[in-house]
Amino acid sequence: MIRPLIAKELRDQRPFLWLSVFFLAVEVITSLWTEPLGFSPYAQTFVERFKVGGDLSTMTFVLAFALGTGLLVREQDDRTLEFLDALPTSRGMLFSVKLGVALGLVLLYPLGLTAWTLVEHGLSRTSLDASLHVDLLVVGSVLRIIQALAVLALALALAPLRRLSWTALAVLMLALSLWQDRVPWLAALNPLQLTAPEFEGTRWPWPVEAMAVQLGASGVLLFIALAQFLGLGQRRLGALLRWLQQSWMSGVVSLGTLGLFIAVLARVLGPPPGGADGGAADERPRVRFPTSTVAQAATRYYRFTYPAELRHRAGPLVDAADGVHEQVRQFLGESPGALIHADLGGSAAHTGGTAYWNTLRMDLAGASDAERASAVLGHETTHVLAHRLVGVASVPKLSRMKLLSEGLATYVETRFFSPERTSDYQLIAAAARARREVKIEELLDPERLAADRDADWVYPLGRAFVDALVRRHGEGAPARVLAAIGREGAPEGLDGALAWQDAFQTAGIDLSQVFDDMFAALDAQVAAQRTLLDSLPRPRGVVERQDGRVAIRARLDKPLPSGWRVVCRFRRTERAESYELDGPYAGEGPHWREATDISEGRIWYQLGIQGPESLILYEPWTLVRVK
Amino acid sequence: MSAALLRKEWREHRGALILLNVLFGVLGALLVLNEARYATHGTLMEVLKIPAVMLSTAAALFVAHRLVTREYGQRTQLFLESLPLSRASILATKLLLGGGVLLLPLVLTGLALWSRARLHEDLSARFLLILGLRAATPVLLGWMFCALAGLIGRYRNPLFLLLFLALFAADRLTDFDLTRVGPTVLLGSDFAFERQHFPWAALGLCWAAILGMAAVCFGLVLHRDGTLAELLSQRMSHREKVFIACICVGLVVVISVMDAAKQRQPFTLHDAEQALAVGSPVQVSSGVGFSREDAARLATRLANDLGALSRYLGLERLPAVAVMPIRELDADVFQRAELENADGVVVRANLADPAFDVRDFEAFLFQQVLIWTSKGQVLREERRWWLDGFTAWWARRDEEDPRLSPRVAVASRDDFDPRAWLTTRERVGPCLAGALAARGITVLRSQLDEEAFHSLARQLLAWPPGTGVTGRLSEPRLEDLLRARGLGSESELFTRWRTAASQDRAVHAALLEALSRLHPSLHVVAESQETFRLEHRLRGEGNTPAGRYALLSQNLGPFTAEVAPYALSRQDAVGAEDAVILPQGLARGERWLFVMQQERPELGCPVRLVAERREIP
Repeated sequence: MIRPLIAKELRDQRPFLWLSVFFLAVEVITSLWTEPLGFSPYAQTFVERFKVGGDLSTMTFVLAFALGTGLLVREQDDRTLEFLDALPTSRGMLFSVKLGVALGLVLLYPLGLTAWTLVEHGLSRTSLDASLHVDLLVVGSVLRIIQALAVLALALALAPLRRLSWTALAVLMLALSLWQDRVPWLAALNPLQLTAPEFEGTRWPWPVEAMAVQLGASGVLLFIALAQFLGLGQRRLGALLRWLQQSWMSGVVSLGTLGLFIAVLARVLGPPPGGADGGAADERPRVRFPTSTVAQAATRYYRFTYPAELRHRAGPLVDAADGVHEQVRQFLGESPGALIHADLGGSAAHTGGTAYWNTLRMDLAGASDAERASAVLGHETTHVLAHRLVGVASVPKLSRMKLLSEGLATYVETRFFSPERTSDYQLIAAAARARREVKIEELLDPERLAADRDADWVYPLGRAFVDALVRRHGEGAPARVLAAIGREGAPEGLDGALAWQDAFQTAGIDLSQVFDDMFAALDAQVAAQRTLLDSLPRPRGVVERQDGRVAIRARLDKPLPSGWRVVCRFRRTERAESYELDGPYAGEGPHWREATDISEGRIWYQLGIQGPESLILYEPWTLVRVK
Repeated sequence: MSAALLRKEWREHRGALILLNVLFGVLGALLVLNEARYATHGTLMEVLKIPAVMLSTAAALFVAHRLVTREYGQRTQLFLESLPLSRASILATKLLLGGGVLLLPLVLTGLALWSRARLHEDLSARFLLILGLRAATPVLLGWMFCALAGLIGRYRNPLFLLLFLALFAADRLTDFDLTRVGPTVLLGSDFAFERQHFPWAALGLCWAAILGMAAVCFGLVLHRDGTLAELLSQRMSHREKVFIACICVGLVVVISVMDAAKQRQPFTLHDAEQALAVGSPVQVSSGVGFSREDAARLATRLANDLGALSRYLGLERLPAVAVMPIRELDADVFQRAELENADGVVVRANLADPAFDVRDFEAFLFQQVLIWTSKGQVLREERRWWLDGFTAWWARRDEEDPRLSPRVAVASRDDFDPRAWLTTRERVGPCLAGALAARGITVLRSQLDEEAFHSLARQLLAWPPGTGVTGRLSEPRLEDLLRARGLGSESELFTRWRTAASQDRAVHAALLEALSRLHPSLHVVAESQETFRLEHRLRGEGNTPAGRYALLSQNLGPFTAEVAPYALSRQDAVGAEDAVILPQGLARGERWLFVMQQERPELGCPVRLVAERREIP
């Protein structure tokens, strides 16, 4: 009886069969048609296909859920279940056959593509990576089977909701992402995470806990689906479903989904866990003073707003503001434009000021003196005027060229308003060069620079870059480059090195020559500060444990010079934004991490040394896996 | 529009619409109450973008589903049409109600934000009007689009998909930039900061789109007495869904293939000295310590040598070549750039360094050109030694290189397998590997006349590249070519090669003896359960001074094959009894490549004393 049932199921699910075969064929034929055989090793294909959100996970999820939602309910809706009941077989057998056939169809594409990945690697192997890594593929395939089973089970359990099943899926996924930050082990419930490769060397260890959770959850969901299919509690379930399917209920459910979206947003927009400081929950008594009134002041080029109690600090700044503006404006060759709105009440985390279109914000309270405040004003005013030079449409492009934008602002700041800081920036730049860590590809890719080293390197190295640019091509060079960035008819879609090359070529400047000059200047600085640079230690991290907590302690290879100290900071993910960084914390440690701070068993830490003038020289980011 | 219709719609949907406004009221309250967050946005009014985006997308979809999709999907509009009401008025009522429901929370949120922001900022009426138009227009655009999609019925999801694909195609195949069009301009980076100028172009485009879509909506509803809308509302069959899915996937593949095949412009270098090689430009730019005259000389030389190589191998076309000086690299490290949206070979080298060897650089450049002409297929490992050896030999074909023999001696002090050439390259380094391969070429040349060698070189390095199985089958095989010329098998050639290398070793025994007295060591020491340090040391035997050396390192992925020299981090050290610690901490589970190498002036190449891949246990 089983064979006819299988044949019947295959016939019913033909569209999914064709779809899987089609997708697989497209993948294989495209490779064969457009690429030479033997140049697709795992280095190029494995992680790309197996990662969360890659082809395999996405297609498995979509196919499994789409197939599963219709697998059983279609028989009920089309009334063919009564016919099947007349056959000499049980509903349990029907259920098993359906599940087996559906699982096989869902796995056709991912396992087929996995096999093709193996074939491609087999043809592309070299002596440096001669193994077929079949063990990795076995782990990946088994996890893929469990993933498909879990998604199928979920789809079968939600299928009675009919059209609301996709809505319910969205609700569940959102709820999971909402709570995962606070309860990290919930990641084990996410079937997409199950097949994300986690390598230890060339091994992919079995994620036993996640597998157990997924298999357990699949069992429960399959039991629910089977119970519904067998008609257990049919009357009550029918009544519940009729109640759920009333028109107002669908509205409530839909709005509930919308509400969940907003709840997620609220979580993003609301105060961070533990309070506005972002630290751990604080149980000390809180003191809150009344908010002050806001004062305003207008000059020829600015409109200032600031907390009234800072009027003594704001006064010198307001008096000096137009002079600052004139100096920056003349350097950039920009004509006077609209007023700049300057809010002196604060800035983004980890910054002294931030600039927007015709607007800037500054932390006046954080500035140590009037000169420092003028320097920050000059820095941010440079950004605002640079935005005007490139035009509003090209501001995002300029923002991605951080080495240039921040370098220009820092150059203006140190040249005209705080020359005493030049030596601090030069020290950081020289140290990076001495370590051979200044790489042009990273400087032109701010995200990569932030992920591997320190996003703030754009300040000292950008300053050195603009200094080299001005020395060789004159003071008008930065403005020419900015004008080239914002010119009409600039090619769209350029990014990274190409955007730089396009802008500098249009401005009539050889970019590689500017970098050459920069490196020459850095080498000269290295030579001049060799003694100090050689005296600076390089901290390494050591993991310590106590009472279930994990800490990072710094170890130094030589003593710290006087006035220097070790710092440590952390992040949750490789691509965390600068305002998401935790720290820096001073001292050699141990710097303890709570379980909620450790995402998926990983700690990203970065050690550095902080000089007397507060600039920090960081080591590269390090990832360590802890259980 | 009639009041009765409005009342009917309101009665039918008031629950959902009220809840929608309540939810956005909660959102607005959250935005206002968490003012501290706006420090990352610049002004509190900037957060008005959030409800604007949500109302123009998710909320518009929801309202359209309630007001339009349900009505026309369940065909209850047929009942309404039986009443003394025109179809136009029915639709107009729905469109106006939906627009009003979506704009209300936007206005209320805006007012709430304004009431707080005015305490900190100067908000003029003009600015508020600009802001209001910039926020409301995308909401109305989103609402009209979703309403139109609702009227299209079962093809609304394919419509969304096709729209996405069209944008994808426009982005990949043309210079179209979505961020400079219509609603994205209105919600751009100057959303809450532009206080003077109305973005009339973007507003006009959006309003035109709104009116156009409204016209299409009315057209759908009124055409053929509304039967078109009724037909579209029927459910899609399973086959239709699969068919549309296949169409969409096929379109994605076609677009990707077209993008890959898109003609790329040759890379041009501004203000560089230029010469021509077979009609293709060879550009060299000047730099610090490398004058324009030096650049011109180098450009001429490279163009002449590339032209000769092209004639020798019968290459029909050469890439545009750009050479840029850069002090970042060591003298013997050369780097090729990855190009997007441009074509050619762009390389960098420390041209001004006294230790820079133009012939070694030429060998590297010739390799890159041949990789370009063969679309990468000369990199196949079984044939890779040919690429290294031929280009190294070609760069020095005019004169005997006195350093070739000692380089070969050092490179071959351990046995080597030409079929596992990448392993050999990693073990001895690219410079010595090139010399070793050049010895193989000279051995082969000694057994062939010039014409036969010439023909062999053309077949191995300049065959027309193909794709797929046929391309693979048509690739020349060295074994077949050797047998055709009566030179026996590859193995026999390799045996002769090793014999020649052993003769080099015999001549330079003293050099090998000196190297054998150096004892490098690498130790991974655990500092905790998860973290380790690397201790490295170079000792000389007896009284032999170890001298300076460098530790090169790279954190490898699980499948990393060849590591380019410029990707290796470097720590310089002096050989001594005490170990030196690598500053970088190592974590359990990582894979690293460690190389200890020493400069040898007599060779002009660094010698790799140790090169091994280690997994941190």
